[in-house]
Parts: sequence; C-alpha cells; structure tokens
Amino acid sequence: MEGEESKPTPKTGEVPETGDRAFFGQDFYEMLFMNANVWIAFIDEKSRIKSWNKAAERISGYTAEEVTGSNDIWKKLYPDPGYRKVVTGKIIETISNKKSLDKFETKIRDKEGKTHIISWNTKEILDSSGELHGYFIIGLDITDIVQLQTNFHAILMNANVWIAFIDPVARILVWNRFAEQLTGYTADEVTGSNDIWKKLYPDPGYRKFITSEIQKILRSEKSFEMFESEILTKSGTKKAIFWNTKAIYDYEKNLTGFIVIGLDVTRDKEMQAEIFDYIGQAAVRLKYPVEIIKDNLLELHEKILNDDIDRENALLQIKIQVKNSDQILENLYELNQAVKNSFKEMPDDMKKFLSE
Amino acid sequence: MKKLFEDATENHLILVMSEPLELKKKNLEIIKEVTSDGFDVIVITTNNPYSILVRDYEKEGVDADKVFFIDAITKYAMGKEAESTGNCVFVGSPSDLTSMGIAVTEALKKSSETGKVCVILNTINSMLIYISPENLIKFIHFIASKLRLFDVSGIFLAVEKGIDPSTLIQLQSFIDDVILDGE
Repeated sequence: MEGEESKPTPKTGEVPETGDRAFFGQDFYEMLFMNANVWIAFIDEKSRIKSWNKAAERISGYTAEEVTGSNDIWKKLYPDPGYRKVVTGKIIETISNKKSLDKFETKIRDKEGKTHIISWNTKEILDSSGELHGYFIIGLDITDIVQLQTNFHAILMNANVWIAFIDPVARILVWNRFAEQLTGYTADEVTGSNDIWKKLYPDPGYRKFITSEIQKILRSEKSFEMFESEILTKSGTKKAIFWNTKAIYDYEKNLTGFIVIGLDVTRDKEMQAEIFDYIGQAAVRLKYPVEIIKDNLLELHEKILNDDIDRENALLQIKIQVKNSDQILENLYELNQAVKNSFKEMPDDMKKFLSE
Repeated sequence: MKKLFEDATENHLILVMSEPLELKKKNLEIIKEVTSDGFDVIVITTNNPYSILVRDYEKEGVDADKVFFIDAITKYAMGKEAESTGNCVFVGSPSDLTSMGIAVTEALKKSSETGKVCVILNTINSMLIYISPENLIKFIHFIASKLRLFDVSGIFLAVEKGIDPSTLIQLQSFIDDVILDGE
C-alpha cells in the first residue's frame, strides 16, 4: 500500500486498458463488478489501484478518477501511520502465507472523515505464467452491523436479567453480568464448560429432574417459558429462577445452541408467601375473632331481650367484648408491624401509616 | 352425636367443629349428655365467663356440681380478682398458658381420683384472639399429652372453617376424631 507511483486515471467504471480486462472479459462481468453492492478493487503488486467500483467510491468517498493508478489512497484511508503499519503488516503476512485474506476487519476514514469498519477479503491473482499480477479486493462495509453487535452486546451484558448462550451440550458460551451477580460465578469461571450446572444444582436427584425436564423440552424443540427451578449460588443462598429458553439454528437449520434467559423471582416468591401468610394470619387473628365478638354480642342481645341475664353479667359480657376488641386491635398492630418489616418495597408513608 | 359419646367413653380426644351460632348449643348438649353419662367435666373457657356458663348449664338441667371451670376470661375482663368459688379457678388471662396448664393439671389430679372425667375446651377460636396459632398448637399438644397421661377424654370445640388449614392439620395430629356439624 505504501508508494507514490502514479499512472493515467480512467473514468469511473472504466476497466483499465492493461491485461486486467482479461479477468472480466465480457460486459456482463464488467457491469457486475462495477455495480456490485460491495467495495471491489483490483490493485497491482505495488498496491496501486487498477480498478475501483461504484461501491468503493460510495463508501470511501473517493472516485475512481481520484484513486486509480496510485497507491496514495491507502494513506488517506489509514491516515494514522501506526495503524497503517499494523494493517499493512498483517495483510502482507497473511497473504504471503495463505495467498488470501478472509474477513480481515479494519477501520478506514472516508473522504468526509467518517470512520467505517470494513471486512476485507483479498485474493492473490497470478497471470498465465504464474507471476503475481495483483490482488483482488472485496470490502464489505460492516459499520452498521458492528454497531448493532456492539449495542446488542452492551444490552446483553448489562441487562437486568440472567442471559446466557449455551451450545447444544450446555457449555457456556456467553454469561452476562447479571448472571455473574446472581450466581456469584464469573464468566471466566463458567465459559467453555458445562460444569456450572452441577454447581447450580448440587443435589443429584433435583439435577436429574431438571435435566430430564430440559431434555424433554429440547427434544420437542420448543421454548420453555415460565420453567421454574431453584439454584444454589456460589455463596450458598438459594434463588428461584423462571427460565425462558430459545433454540438457535444456523442457515442450514443446524442447532447451534440456546439463548437462556433467567428471571430472578426469589423476592416475588417470598412476597407471595408473605402475602399468603398475611391473609392466613388476618383471617385467624382478625376475621374469626370479630365473628366471635359479633356472636357474643348477638347472644347478649338475645339474653337481654328475654330478660335472661342480670345486669352484672351483662356488663361483664360487654367488658369481655371490649377486651376482645382491644386484643384484636393489638393483633392488627402486630400484623402491620410484621408486614412493614417484611415488605421492604413498601413506600415510607405506608410504613408510617401502619406504625400508627 | 351418638358416636361422640361412644368415643368419649373410650378416652378419645375429639375435635367438634360447628357453625358459630350452633357452637353454643353444641356446648350445652355435650355438657348435658356427658354429665348425665356419669362424667365429671372440666371446662376450660376463654370466651364465656364462669358466671354466665354456670347459669346456662343449670338452666339446661346440668348438675353444676359435676362441672369444674377453669375461667381465663373473667379476671382479665374485670381487671381484678373474681369472687372465689369452689368449682372454678380463675386464670389471669387467656394468653397465660402456663397458669392455664397448671390449673388443668391440678384439676385433672383431683378429678381423676373420683371417676370418669372429660375435659372440654371452649373454644379454640376464642383462644386465637389472644395467642398465635403456633402457641395454640403447643398448648393443645400439652393438654392432649396430659389427658392421655391421666387416661381422660377431651373435647375441643371450634368454629367450623374458623381455623386456618395449616393449624387444623397440626391439631388433627394430636386428636383421635373430628366431628363436624350434623354428624
């Protein structure tokens, strides 16, 4: 790519008058070359541009007229000498070994100063006598794809749910930060192996049950929404997880693995249990006692109506119901305190109200 | 009700569950029939005071001399010592399970020397106003153990559907039979 030699520049789309035409031959191929939606160029052994298609013009911002016959373009695309040296070195090394370069990604700067990420595919071209004729270069602008991948990776890694990607034999390929926080196991500890499942499910019986359930789902090749299990974290605490798993296939419909999404529902389960307990306690210590008072008062009312109770006993019975009521209020206060302490999510004003 | 008394004679522990307004009648029926069957009865009450219960029993023709009361509500409601009586001991409060336990043990010691004895707890639900289900279970377990030790029958009265399922399951583990309304 380095060098300053120059030659007459053809117009955009014009195939050079050298023997290069032999490589494209017919008009059809020439049109295909020029109008392809990927950056295609042909350079000679000194990196001078011999052909530069429309996509190359569009992506780089430089016209064929500007670049053809010279290798100056590489300095423009890679203005940083250090980076240019690294890229050049890598290209030379790879091509000299393999005679081609696949999916080699570099960052270029276009004419407007905007950065593009290009995935290069370069192939050495020899003439009929076996001498190096030049290089055929295909560049795919993957800037948007890389940006999307970066964004997706950021979302995946920072999502507030456990996200993992596992291969068909449950080896961990991706383990996000929430998975690390929740389980206590880092991505470094778990990646590349399926040992983590033994750690998360140390009880062989339970692990067997879970494995059997998962295998059933894998066999049916369906996602399993709301599949629940209890895991043991590195610190020894138990967590309730709701799982959602989706099988991933490649273009040939071969299974490549599974995306596993786990929701920590431990607190939800605790709250559910606390609510059930509250309802039970409320019935036992509030509802039924109030019914007892009601029945006692109805009985007292009937006795008074029938003149079946003396004043002293009537007053005693009323006093007992007052005491019962006092105790129910005390029970309600205790219950409110327990609820307030259990539900840390409760707003402060509600906590204050329950304390009064 | 026939089964209840057949069981009572075999020193069974029975949980009788009834509708709230029927429970009072059930209590009277049980006392009447158990006393007429020759039993001395120890009534533990945490809802109706002794003074009202004894009048109700007498009105129904029950021989009040055959009934000994452990009243845990009168003293608590009055806030002072109740008038002393020969066939009743007053406990400070329905939540004072220790005193109630001592009173039951003492009463069993005295009564069991004389003949057939039956203990009636009136009612489990009213105790739940003053104590937690956990403490209720401990207390019933204590009473059940004492009754078995003294080879005495016991009848526990409760409002049907007035005890939460978990507490009821635990209660059933101490007793021999459950009799529901209409059985």
